Amino acid sequence: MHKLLVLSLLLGVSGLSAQTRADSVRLDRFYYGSLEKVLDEISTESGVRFVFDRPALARIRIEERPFNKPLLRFLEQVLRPKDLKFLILPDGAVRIMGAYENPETEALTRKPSAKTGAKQKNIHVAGLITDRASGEALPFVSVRVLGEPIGTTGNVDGQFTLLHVPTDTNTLIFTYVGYEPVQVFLAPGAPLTELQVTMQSEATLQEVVVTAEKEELLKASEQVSMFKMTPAKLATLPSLGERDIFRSFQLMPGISAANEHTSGLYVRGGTPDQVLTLYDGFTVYNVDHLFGFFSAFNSNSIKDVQLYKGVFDAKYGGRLSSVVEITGKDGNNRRFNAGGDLSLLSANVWIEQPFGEKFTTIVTARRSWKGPLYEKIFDRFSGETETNAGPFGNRFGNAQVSSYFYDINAKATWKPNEHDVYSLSFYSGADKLDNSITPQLPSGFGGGGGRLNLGITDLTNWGNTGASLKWSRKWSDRLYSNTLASYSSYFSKRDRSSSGTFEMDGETQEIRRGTLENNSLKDFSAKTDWEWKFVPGQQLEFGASATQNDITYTYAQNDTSTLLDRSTAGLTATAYLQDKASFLKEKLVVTPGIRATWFSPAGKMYYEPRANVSYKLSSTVKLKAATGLYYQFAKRVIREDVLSGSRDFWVLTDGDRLPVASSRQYVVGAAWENKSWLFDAETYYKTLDGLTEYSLRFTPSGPGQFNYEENFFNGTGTSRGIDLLLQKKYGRFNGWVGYTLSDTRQHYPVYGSEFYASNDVTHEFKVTGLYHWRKWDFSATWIYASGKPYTAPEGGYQVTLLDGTTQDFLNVSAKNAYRLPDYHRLDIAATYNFLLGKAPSTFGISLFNLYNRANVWYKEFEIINNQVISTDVNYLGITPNLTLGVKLR
Amino acid sequence: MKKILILPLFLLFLSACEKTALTTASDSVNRPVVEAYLSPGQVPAVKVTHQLAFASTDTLARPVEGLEVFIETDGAEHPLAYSAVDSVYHADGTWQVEAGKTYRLHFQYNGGVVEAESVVPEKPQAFTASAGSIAIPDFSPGSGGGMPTFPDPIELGWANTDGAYYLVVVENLETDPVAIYEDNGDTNRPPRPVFRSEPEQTNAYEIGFRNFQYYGTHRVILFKLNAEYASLYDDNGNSSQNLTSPYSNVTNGLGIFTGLNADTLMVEVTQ
Repeated sequence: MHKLLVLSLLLGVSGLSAQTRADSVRLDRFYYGSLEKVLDEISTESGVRFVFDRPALARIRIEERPFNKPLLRFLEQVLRPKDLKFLILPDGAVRIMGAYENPETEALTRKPSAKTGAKQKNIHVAGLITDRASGEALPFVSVRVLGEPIGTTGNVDGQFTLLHVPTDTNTLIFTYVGYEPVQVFLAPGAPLTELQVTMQSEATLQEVVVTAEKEELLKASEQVSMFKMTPAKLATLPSLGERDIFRSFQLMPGISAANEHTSGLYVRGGTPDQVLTLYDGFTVYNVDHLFGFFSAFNSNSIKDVQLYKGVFDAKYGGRLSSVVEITGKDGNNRRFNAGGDLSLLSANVWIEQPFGEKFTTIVTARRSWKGPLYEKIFDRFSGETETNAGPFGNRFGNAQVSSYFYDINAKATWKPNEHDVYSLSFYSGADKLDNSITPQLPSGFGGGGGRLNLGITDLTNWGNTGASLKWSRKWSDRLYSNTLASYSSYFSKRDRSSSGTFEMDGETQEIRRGTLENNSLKDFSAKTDWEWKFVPGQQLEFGASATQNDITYTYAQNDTSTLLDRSTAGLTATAYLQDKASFLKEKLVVTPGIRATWFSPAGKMYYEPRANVSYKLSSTVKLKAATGLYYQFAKRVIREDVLSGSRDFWVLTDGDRLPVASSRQYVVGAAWENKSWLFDAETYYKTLDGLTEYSLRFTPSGPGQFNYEENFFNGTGTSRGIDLLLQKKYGRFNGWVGYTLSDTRQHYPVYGSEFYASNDVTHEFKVTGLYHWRKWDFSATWIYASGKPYTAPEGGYQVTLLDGTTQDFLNVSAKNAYRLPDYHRLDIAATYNFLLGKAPSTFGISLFNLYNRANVWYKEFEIINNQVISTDVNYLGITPNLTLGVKLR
Repeated sequence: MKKILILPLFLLFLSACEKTALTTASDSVNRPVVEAYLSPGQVPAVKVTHQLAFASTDTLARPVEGLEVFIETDGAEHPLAYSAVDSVYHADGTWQVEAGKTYRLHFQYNGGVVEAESVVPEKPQAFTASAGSIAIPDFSPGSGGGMPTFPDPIELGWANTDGAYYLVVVENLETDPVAIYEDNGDTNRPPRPVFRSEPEQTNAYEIGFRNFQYYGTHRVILFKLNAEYASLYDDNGNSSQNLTSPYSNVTNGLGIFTGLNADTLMVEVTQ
């Protein structure tokens, strides 16, 4: 009841008496209290009618003493510092509105008192959708015509075009995940092709207002196998230190959550390297920070994220499993803004600075600090390297452990006119985990003239740098293009060696033993994407791209013997065409597409036909199906390493020893959705071909010509399963339940018969609940996943070597014949929203793994006294975190 | 009505997703472990043992007795007899291993045939050492100021024209060897007066004075090996993240059956 009251009073009106001309009124007394109260008083005294947002103005306090001052000057003086302005309406009333609101469109968002007759029929409507607070364009907003089967999605620059809207009195509904939906009531004379629609983020709303429709943190089921998420509301989910887009996606069915050691996404039996991650158009090749516990993306710099769990559009390619498309923020286009977050793990700051109305910039930066959480994770997962510091560790020095991660995002956007947008986006992030031992030798060791230096190096260092320069242009309401040039690089270095220099009479001798690994990848790309609504109901998408990849990998044991030294470069040139055609009053949407790629190292063309069909059975039920063929040209190969853990590296395929990976996918599903609930079910089947692993454990035959290049082993796989999602979309209490049943298998001839892939999880059940109460947001997630397969020793034996010593061997089971215990975990979080002075702030507390479940990561085996002893290596136990976030406005 | 249509569709896919369990049972734990080195001029001997099962309480590998073990070469089958003294199967002493020949081991076990094949390499060629002796410098206090002069390492060399694997083993031949360094409780000291290199496809090896732990006469043995022996040095992992089957050239079995050949030199280690 109370909420309904709020709604009806939301746009309040002061003064019901006869109209007075506002410009004739002068004020001469002391006014204090809320602006709402003051306007009501002025209205009572003068008879001027005011139209304003009551809850918003009730929060603004003023104290003013005008001396015979004209009302309009008084309003200007009071409103300007509060980012408000006024407008005298044609009927003489004074409307108080946000300083940046567009009165023309704003007027259209209020329901007209009387329905006027339509003047035009079969019109087209176009415009721009922006965030009310920052003025940033909102990407991929859904727009539809109320009561009609007509709808569209805006482009990445916030522009939208709706063709064949029946009349100029229809109502448009704009919905965007994490934002209050907006209704626009078209009226004759409205600027139909230049609508300026502003939307307000729910995160900035202080009151919960019940409106016709409302979108929450997550939006599913718009397209086959696709999710959208907004970073704005992520803060309310439980987190391990950082708000994390990738961790949040892991709460969705079909995406495995039982992988604390990587932020990468295991989607429907795929592996993280099969996910195409695009940040403002450039490909990011590694998404991990700190052993993978955090993703490389700072959510403060992200505006929008879309995830395809498979069967993606012809526009995307080069990966088998899925696509994550991240759109970075442009920055506030009105004024300076800044903020920051501090957690037990990292410090995070952001700055937004516009230059004029057409140029915006944003910079965000994050760096870990040696907080208790960072230390806890570091200690746990670097324990092995610490304890085995080496024989020199105890004698000559201590491990000087220094490690950190950081990332920086920067973006500049220039909108010289209504049609063009230019943006330059930059990202750089890296991790350095250093466990080296610095020598601390007594001076003069060894006597006259000679100096000895010995040290253990244990350095892991990886990072990404990427940049894109984008030009998008709206050529007309029907034709839009997006062209970009980008650069992306990834490096990963591993140096686990002991080195020594020995100086003797001016001559330095060096010794170095251990493992040295270096992987570097460069990606130079150019692409252009076009959208053309050439006739009603048909949207043609086409484009072309070219990528030059340059990938090197060296793997050396000691600095003298290089096992692998690959340096490959290749060009991938692609063109695609896709038609989104709708029939039967938009009930049936068919999207056939084709992608053709020339891959230079294989010297071959690759064609990827794809198709996507959806049919609206009724207003609530939708059926969907999709299929496609997918190729991957640059892929990540796992290298087994017993001493320092398995590592992986990127290689460019050659169509021969390293085959181009491919996947065929089939998805069938149905969704039932009303205003408050969504039930979505999809079942999938996919085949994987051309998977590669690298292992030194299998010696190729033919003694004498040992070639480590021969140690790449290829295999195939299949994955099938069902994803179910039930979501309560809005309300004080909302959230979702997801369930996945799946079966993923692989077959590598070198391992013998078919086996369950190491990422195979039979059942996975996830619940996410969010509750909003006054200034608090509470949330909880519970994850349950069947245990993953592993290989275990079934026995042991010894062989006596030629020098009389013995070598122990573990005789192992069939590959992945055993299962780890089931994984489950409960996380909870509470977030308090408050004002620190005038700065909107949040304070969050979260508890990861609340009931301290010992989830097994992997097992270690040892032969002790001729007995095989197994030890569980566990994931994190209960881990608390605190977060404080503050922003200027 | 319409929803009813969806149901059969899903049932269809559900049935498609039914799990058919893969074979998880492993017979590998029942495989015998073979150990045999065929060296020219020696009578062949083959050790066959059980594995130590994961669950068993055995601490020593039990020999497998009662097998009918054969080694075949030049088209002739030679039976081997079990000796309870050393728990090893021996040939009857009327024939010896020869370089350049191929030998095939086979025996019946648990209803299957366990077999392995190996070639005995030719003797290493042109095995030389840069010096016949090496003097250990004196580091002890009172031995005079300044750094002592380091002796040149002993450089071993041989011909490796076919990219074969070689391994150097150095053993002290003294009956009561004298240690070079004081025992400071250093646990890194080799327990026996022997040290070795790892199998490598190389034609040279350097022995520095630091390699030696004892004074006296040392025998330097250069083994010429097959790839299957070199594979024994590959670790097969110790955690479920990277565990793989150990390499073996024995079909339906584990362990090693390999031919090898050797040449030796003597080196004197002095004060």
